[in-house]
Amino acid sequence: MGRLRGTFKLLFFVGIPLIPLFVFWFFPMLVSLWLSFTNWDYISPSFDYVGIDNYTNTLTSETFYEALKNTIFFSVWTIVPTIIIGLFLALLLKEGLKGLTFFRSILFSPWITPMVAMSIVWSWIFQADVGLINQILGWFHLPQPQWLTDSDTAMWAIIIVTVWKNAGWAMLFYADSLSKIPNDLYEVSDIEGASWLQKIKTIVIPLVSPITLFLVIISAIDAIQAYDQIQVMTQGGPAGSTRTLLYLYYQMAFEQFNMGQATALATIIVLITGVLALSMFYASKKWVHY
Amino acid sequence: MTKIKLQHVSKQYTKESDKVIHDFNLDIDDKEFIVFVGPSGCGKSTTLRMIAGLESITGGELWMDDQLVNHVPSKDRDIAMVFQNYALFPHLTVFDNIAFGLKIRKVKKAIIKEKVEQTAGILGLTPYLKRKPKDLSGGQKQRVALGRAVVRDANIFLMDEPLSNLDAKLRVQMREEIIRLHKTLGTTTIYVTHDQTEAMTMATRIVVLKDGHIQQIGTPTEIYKNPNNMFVASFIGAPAMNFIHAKVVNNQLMTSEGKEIAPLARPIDHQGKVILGIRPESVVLATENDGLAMDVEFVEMMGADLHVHGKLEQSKIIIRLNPDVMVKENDRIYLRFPHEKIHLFDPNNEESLYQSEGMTAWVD
Ligand SMILES: Nc1ncnc2c1ncn2[C@@H]1O[C@H](COP(=O)(O)OP(=O)(O)OP(=O)(O)O)[C@@H](O)[C@H]1O
Ligand SMILES: [Mg+2]
Repeated sequence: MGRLRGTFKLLFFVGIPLIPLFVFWFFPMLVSLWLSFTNWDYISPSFDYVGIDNYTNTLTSETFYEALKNTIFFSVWTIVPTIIIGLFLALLLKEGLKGLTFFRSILFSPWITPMVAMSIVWSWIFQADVGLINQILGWFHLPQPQWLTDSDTAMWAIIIVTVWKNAGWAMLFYADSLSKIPNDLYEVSDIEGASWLQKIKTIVIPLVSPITLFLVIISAIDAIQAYDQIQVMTQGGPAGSTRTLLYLYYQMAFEQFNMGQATALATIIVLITGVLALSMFYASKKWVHY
Repeated sequence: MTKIKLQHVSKQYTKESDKVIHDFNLDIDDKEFIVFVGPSGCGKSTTLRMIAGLESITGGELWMDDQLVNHVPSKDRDIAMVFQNYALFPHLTVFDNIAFGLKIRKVKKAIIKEKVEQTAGILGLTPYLKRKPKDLSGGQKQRVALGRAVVRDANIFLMDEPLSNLDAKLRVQMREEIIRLHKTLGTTTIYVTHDQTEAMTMATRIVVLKDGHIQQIGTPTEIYKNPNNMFVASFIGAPAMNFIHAKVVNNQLMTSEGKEIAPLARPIDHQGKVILGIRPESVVLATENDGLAMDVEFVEMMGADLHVHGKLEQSKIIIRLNPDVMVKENDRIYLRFPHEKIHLFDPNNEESLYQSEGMTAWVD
């Protein structure tokens, strides 16, 4: 009797919070998975089952591999600078810059600004003729790229905005992690005459490694899901040079109305994300010290 | 091995704040084991860290052998330091922790291996070389920290309360280990503690500090037998020295209420109120006729001795007796203070007026 009531209680307290999870996450995912085996066009009420056609089409299409390449490029070049700049800023703050809280909030403010708003401002900054960046480059007589309208530079522009937004956020995590490193570890290395770089290598990097892992995984997921900045600044162009997997999904679903193909791509994205996160977690055993 | 000389050293953390170390003068000889002892906040760590070069010296001079080292960076002072919280690198194995300093100093791999293994052998760490600090007990961690200092063959060891995180038994064990290490290596050592037992048992000389002022420098015996003032007298020795309100009238030492304690053979330059100091173990039992009355409040059986707490007139006192003596709560017992064990202090400035130990100035 008591046991039954216990089970009921458990179901009640665990079950109720799970309901939204089911309704808004699990259920749509199942529907999406189901749609990926159909040729639904988003509008007509009828559709046919097409088996794994959508998957084979996707996995054999050039656009998919182009987008995959773009996604990997974008991810690597946002994650690595975000981590390095974040750690560097945190180290600067730790050295006790004057006006600490002021700096911290300035650096953190991009993170709380909506990506859409930021992207709009940045697309002005990146304008080829009147944009701020090219103005500055002009003063120094440096080349002034076409940024958003040149397929060689458009992805870099998107990357710069994304790093700009995320670095302050990474800094906050690192600042907290750095403040937890006991001071006497630095003193031990002072007595031995370790240089600044040696201290970074032997103390800081290993001791913030759990935060680094966390940031890498979150930033990777964030990079795979990047949408706002691409939509506002380049819409995947020019010539598909900023079309990531997620943006490709959006175009398939809401520009070409090819829901079956799009949901198949979505499933592949989820799989890639999962495999990536898992493998990072696994690989981390070698370099993360808890 | 190095001589260290501190001349008028002082420390002020910021321009606005008060000095925390005042006019610190100390000559440390080669191979000495110096212990800084004092209550929390008296400036022990600050002084040690100035010697280590981790804290700037704001006044005075610090010499090592014949070099003025005020502005010499830590790494060039040839010191090794052991920290209170071990300061081990959590991500490195015991081996790498011990090898840390050597690696930073770019010693050859083969030599590092040999030295680390030798040090681990001395400290009984050989079975743990591959472990991470989190898999070690407190005592083992402390030994690793010690190992990191030993392996460097430094000329000076600095230790800041290295044993304070250990339990009582381990502390005794590690204490012996450090003494043994000092005997074998002969490295000049400065050891900071707030534990008077560690100071007494380990030091060749003790420096007693209070509020950034040196109170006394001396061998454990000197400090114990001839404390300069009431602070030193009460800080060193457990249970602490008893202080009893007394007075000197015509070279006669009496209690405040006028009971005779002992005659003074040698006239002192002080009449009237004094503080009589006597260690708990120096008091002897007497009879009603020739003793001072003490009302027993409670008794602590310590095993090897008996601590009897009570009051003599208005002063609280503790005496240490043979455990076979039958004394219990609410008893009245009678005490005699052997004249050669008596200390007298000036009640105004707490300085010693008289030290009898080792002197023959007292006559019955
Ligand atoms: N970084 C600092 N800035 C300002 N004042 C400090 C600093 N470090 C210590 N002090 C002050 O200097 C005085 C001496 O401190 P210190 O740490 O040397 O004491 P200690 O004798 O080692 O005490 P404990 O036994 O508690 O370790 C204290 O009053 C302390 O508040
Ligand atoms: Mg201290």
